[in-house]
Order: sequence, then C-alpha cells, then structure tokens
Amino acid sequence: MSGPAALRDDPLARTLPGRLAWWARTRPDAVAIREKRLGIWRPISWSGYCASVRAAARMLWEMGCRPGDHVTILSDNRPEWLYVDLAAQAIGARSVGIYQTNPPADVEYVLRDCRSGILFCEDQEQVDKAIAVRERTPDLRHVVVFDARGTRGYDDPRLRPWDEFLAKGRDPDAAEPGWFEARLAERDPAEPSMVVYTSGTTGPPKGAMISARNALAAADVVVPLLGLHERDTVLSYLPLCHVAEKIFSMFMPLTCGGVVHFGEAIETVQADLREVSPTVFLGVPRIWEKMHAAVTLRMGDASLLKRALFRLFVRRGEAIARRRREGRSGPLDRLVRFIGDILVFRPLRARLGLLRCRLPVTGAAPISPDLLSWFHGVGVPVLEGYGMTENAGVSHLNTPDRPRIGAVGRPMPGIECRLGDDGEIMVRGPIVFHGYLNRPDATRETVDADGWLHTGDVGEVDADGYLRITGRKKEIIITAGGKNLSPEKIENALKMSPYVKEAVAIGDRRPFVSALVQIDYDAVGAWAARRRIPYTSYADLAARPEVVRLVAGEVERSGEALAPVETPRAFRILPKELHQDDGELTATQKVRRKALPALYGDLIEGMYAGGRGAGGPAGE
Amino acid sequence: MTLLDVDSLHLSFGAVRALDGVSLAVPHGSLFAVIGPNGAGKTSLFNCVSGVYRPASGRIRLAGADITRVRPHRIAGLGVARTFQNLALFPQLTALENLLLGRHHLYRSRWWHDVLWTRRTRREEARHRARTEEIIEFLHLERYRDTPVGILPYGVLKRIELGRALAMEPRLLLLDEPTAGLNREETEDMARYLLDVREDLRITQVLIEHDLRFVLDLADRIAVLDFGRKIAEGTPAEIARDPRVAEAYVGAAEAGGEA
Repeated sequence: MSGPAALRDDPLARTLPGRLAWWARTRPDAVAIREKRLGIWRPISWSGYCASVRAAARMLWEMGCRPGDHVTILSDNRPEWLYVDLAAQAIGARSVGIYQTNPPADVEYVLRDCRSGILFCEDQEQVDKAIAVRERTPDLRHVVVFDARGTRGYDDPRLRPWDEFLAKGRDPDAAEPGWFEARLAERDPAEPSMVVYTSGTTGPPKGAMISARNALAAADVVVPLLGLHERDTVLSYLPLCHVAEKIFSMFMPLTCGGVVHFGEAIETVQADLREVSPTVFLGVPRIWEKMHAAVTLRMGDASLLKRALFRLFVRRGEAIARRRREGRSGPLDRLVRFIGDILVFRPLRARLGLLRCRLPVTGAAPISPDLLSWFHGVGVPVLEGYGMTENAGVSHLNTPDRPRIGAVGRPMPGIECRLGDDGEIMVRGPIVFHGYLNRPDATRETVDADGWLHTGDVGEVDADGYLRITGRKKEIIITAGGKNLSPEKIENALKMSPYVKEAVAIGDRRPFVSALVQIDYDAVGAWAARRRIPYTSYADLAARPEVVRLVAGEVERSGEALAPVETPRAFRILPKELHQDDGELTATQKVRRKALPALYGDLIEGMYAGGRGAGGPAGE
Repeated sequence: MTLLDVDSLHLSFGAVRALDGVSLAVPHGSLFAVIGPNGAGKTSLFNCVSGVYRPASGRIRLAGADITRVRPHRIAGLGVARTFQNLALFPQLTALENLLLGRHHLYRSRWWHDVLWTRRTRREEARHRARTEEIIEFLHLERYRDTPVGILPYGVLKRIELGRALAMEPRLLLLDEPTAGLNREETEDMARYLLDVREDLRITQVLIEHDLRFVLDLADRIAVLDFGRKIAEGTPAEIARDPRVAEAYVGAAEAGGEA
C-alpha cells in the first residue's frame, strides 16, 4: 500500500527530502506539482521533482555548501523554491527564505545574520538588491538567478543562471547514483534544516531554526487529523518564507502525497484559485476579508431580487451553520441549506475558487468571529488554527467535525498547552523549535528549562479544552479607566467593513479608544466613482468629506460587535497607504503598531485634543 | 550591418518642410533613438518608414531592399511593426485578443479552413496562441489576459501596445514615444522591457522620444532632429556633450516644449 501509513515506517520518512525520495520511488509518474506557464498548467511528476532536487543538491555541494551552511532564497513562490529548499536540507545545510518585498537593507540584514554563501534570486529586480549590498556581504560567493532575463549584461562574477546551475548538477548526480542517498542517510532529523525569520513587529527579525523533526511532528499529526490524502490539492501563494505556507506547500504534501500548484503571479491569485479550485486552502485574515469585501461590493451592484435572496440565505445559512456546529440541526435545516446551495452558495463558491474546498483554514493572525460566521454560513467552514514560527507553525487546530468560531481549537495530539499566571499561552512538544540563530539569550527567554515555549500571547481555555486567544501580552491596551482591551479585536471589527483595509486601535493610557484607518483604495475608489466624486490619488480620496462620512458610518457599525468601551469614539483616516519600505508594515504585511505613534503622532493627538471628538478629516 | 537605411529623405506639407534631407543608418540589433522637440519631424519619419507617407525624394531600405514606395500592409509583412503614441488597441477586446490580432498577417490558413475548423486551423490557432503566451509572459501581462483593455489603466495599455507590436514578430520595431504619459515607475519598467527586447529577442528598435535623459541611459545611438533636419548623431556620451543639442533643447524648454 502506498500512502502516509507506509511512508511513516520507512527510514526515509525522517526528513523532508527523504519523504520526497520516497514518493519518487513509490509513485514516480504521479503528479506532484503543477505550474502555470504560458497559460497552461504544466505537470511535474514526483520523479521529475526529485531529479531536480538531486541535481540542485549535488551542485550546492560542488559550489562548496556544507552542513550547517545557510542557503538563502529571495523569490516569489515557484517550483524552484521547493527544489532549492529541499536540496539544501538534503546535504545538511539550512534553507532561509527572504521576503522578495524586502528593501535592500533588510536583505542585507538576513544575509549577514546567517552569513549565507549562496543566494537564489527570482529575477533581475532581486539581483539588483544583492549587488547593491555587495560590499557589506563578503560571505556571499554565489548568486543563482531563476529568471536570468536582463542580467546577462551584468559583470558580477558571482552570478549564474538557474538553468546552467541545474544542468551542471545533473551529470555528477547521474555519474554517482548513491551519492544523494548517502547524504540523506547522514541526516540527523533533530538538526536545524530551515531558518525562518520572524516578522519582527517589535524588534529586528530573529531567525528561528526549525528541524525536520519539528516540521514532520506537525505534519504527521495534521495529515490524519484533517484526513488528507494523495488527491488533495493546494495552491501555493502565501510567501514561502513564512512557516504557514511551508506547512501547506511542503510539510503536508510531502507527507500525504498531494499536489501543489504554482500560479502565474501574485496578481493572478484569484484567477489561479478559480482554475485550481483546491481541496485544501490556507488563507490569512486579510485574504478572507478581501473575499468577503469582493462579494459584498458585488452584491451591492446586483438586482433587487438577487440582493434579497442573497441576504435571506446568508442569514439563514449562518443560523444553520451555528446549529450544525452545536450538533443540533434538523431535516428542515438540511432542506433550506440545499436550496440555498443551489440558488446562491454554489455559484458564490465557484466564483471564489472554493467550490471543491474541503478544508479551508485560517491562521497567522487573529480573525474576526463575524467574518468566520459569514463564511460558515455560505458553506465555507473555515477552520481557525493557531501556531507560530517557533513551534513549526501550528499547535492548535479546529477540526472539521467540531469546529468552533472564536476559538483556535484544541492542542493537537502529542502537544501540551498550559497557561501561565498572567494568562500567557505556553506550549510543549516535539514541534518546539531549535532556538534562534546567533541569539541564545532570546532563545532562553522564549523556551524555558522545562521545554515550555512562551508564546507571548494571552488566552483562555474553556471546559472542552478549546483555546481562545485574547491578545498579545505586550500589546494589550489598558485605558485610562483601567480596562484591559485587545487591539486586535477592535481592529478586526473595523476591518469587517469592505471599505477598511487596515485599522490600528489606540487607547493605551487614554480616556477612550480611537482608531487610525487606512481605507481600501480599490473599494472606496469604486464607491466614489459610482457617486461621481472626483479624486486623483489615495491621499486625495482619503481627505474627501464624503469618504470621511462613509468611514464614520463604518466605524459606528463596528460598535455592534464590540463592547461600549471597545468602540472607537474617534478616528482619523491615514493620509497614505501603509508600506513596508516606510517601516510601517512587516514583511508579512502586519502593522508595526509600535512604529505608528511616532509617525502619526499629530493625527493621534488631534483625536484626543478636543476631549471626546467625533471623526474628523484626515491630515490637515 | 545596417538593417534600416534612410537616405536623404525629403517630405513637405505645403510650405512646411517636415523632413529636410534626413539620413540614418540603424545597425542590426541596436536600440536607436530619434529625439527632438515637438514638430521636429520624428513622427513624419516613422510614417515614411512604415509607408503611410510617401517622401518627395530619398530612399528607405530595409535589409538592403528598397521599401520607399511599398504600401503599409506590405511593409508590415516585411517585418516592420510599430507602436503608436495614441495607442492602436481595440478597447472591447481582451489583452489576449488584441495580441492575437497583431498576428493577423501571419495567419496562413484559408477562410474555408477556418469555417470548417479543420485540423490545420486548429494547429495554427495553437501555434499563434503559444507565441502570444510567450509575449504575455515576457511583458508580465498574465493578470490582464482576459480583461477587456478598455477598462485598464494607461500604463498597462502602453505595455499591451508594445505586446501587440511584438506579436507581429517584427525585425524592426518602431516605437513612438513609448513612455509618454507614464509616471516614473512605469517609465523605468518600460525602459527595462525595451532593453529585454534588445537582449533577449534581439529585435532592432527605433525609438522616438522627446525626453533626452531617458534615451541617454537607454539607447546605443541617438539622432537629433530639429525643424526637419538632423542636427546631430552619435553615442549617448557624444550627444550629451553636443552644444547644438543643448541649444535645441534649451530653446525648446524655454518655449515650454518639454513637459
């Protein structure tokens, strides 16, 4: 029998590249990867996948890469990402992803921190960054370019195109057939095999070292828990530098044998998703918010009949989904759901690309319960999970049989969880990471002597063992009135509006809660165009009195999901879009909450200057 | 080796001498820029090369063959493609359809083949689609493939316009102000695409621009026109030093010619 059970008994199963070799031996011609190129989804078999990894591993070795070295990857998701990642792991080196949105200074930080000798770049744009920081990265000896277009004229001797790199590795690999297997056999599953840089909302990023044991402990539990198998499909589209996407594009498929899809570009995700219609889909809250906003806005333009039907069935659907979660839905519910499915939900899910999606999962950041309830109502029962880089991405997960909304699920089998005196969530088990690269001090602060990982999150556990996250330990807002509030909850309530892209709640040591709001340029732009309100840019749009009134209404509406003390009493629209280059967002596009008061001090003080104010215009 | 050879071209509209004895020799595989203030005769030159205008006198040769009095569609068939300042796209068609339309003159099947949807037609469709997809990838147009171009922003349209010209599989590409109306970032992107066309596709390009700084960084060779006459020609370094160029440009700038 092929399949996960047989895999786990094989000695190859101890590492990720070992699992690849196992699939290549067991199901050589089955499809492992599909990549959309020149408009067509092109299949790559397990044996083809493995052959590329073998050649890349051999070539890394020839170029002087040895166990313990760091191989950096500066690229969007593409099959080559996986080849390099697994090749590095196969020879005992560590793969390190760098966000391709990083400015040169942040690229330099990672290259220096891990003293990488070999860097893989996506294209000319990324190569330019490596060249810009050349003087300060003396350890970097080789730069391999996946798409060499535009770099042929460069005279940097470190450069070489990927095609040449891979072709050169194939010959020695073919000449010495047992070499790759010998490297795999040398591997210790407890050695660090990947370094994942944390996003660093507070300080500079830290490189979390993750071992094959960490990664596979998580995968070996998740795969049976969710019932994943060889026919499952995923779309790889979130950054592979992040551990969550690594789980879905590497750990899980290499364990269950599913197919990973790579779309054409970040901008084509929606179309790619519709074409692939994956059975397993990982979204971060921003993705779910965007889908919800797109549907809401579209329905605003629909005919009266459609709108009424939609509203009716969504409301019914949410109520039915709630009863189902509580295990008390009857035959009438099933009938209504069936009708709703035919009339509304199936076409809706087809549009979103979630028609075949059995396991929609959300993670990486807190999500609004109202948003989850809406998705459950339309037949996309999104499962919330919880984890962090330091525990290989996942420690808690809602399961399809008994999901809950507002809770991140129970600890996965084999993982212990307890709460500290201050409510801090602590986790212990084989998923707990190896430590931070070059930072034993930070490692000691994070993992205590008994092996408990201190997550920095605060939460509660209910009688059934479901964990509820209430906030970040260091980011709790304590109002002047002494109330402890979670900024995330307030921000998520605001972000339920299709017109709000980003929100930052303020209120620590203040008389009331207020918010900085970044409007969704596309949605508000369309709204303005429909009302013939002229605008030229984001800044111009954000300052329009009509837009301020629109946002005021949305902020007021957010109060329905919040307690009175949590409801923002004032807001300002940010005069520009937050950007990573300006130090306002992390590479994972999370707001650096600590950085904003310094950047937008005037806006914030303006809200508290006149006592309790209503929303005013942005900027001057 | 010279691909395009223009020899003492004269063209007049009534009393206006649009081109007054202009000669150029564009080498194979080069990126050749023609600059000059508004009204210098740049677009007239293009119109002569592509056969829209007939010059009063002078010769135009493409790879040695005389094309001076050849009709525009024949010149297109000989491998001369052109982008237009004010775009030549069909707004209601998608980006893909616009590109496929650029290949119209390359279709070899007969209309009765097409009506019957024969194997020959199907094979030909697939071949054209595959080539078009390569251009879509080359210019990063994937996300606009199935979007009617009428609703797309101007910067993207400029790129699709370039794609339409590339879809014709030209030997010589005439680009009429490819960056006019673009912001800085879009301009830099366009410059990068033009360099890629030269390096990867090895297509000879003649580029009309009035922004001197843009072509100084980009072109292999630059010719400067002023009032229908070529006042200078040389490498970017030579042109940057040339006092006549500075004069023509400063004069134009003072008259409000440079945007």
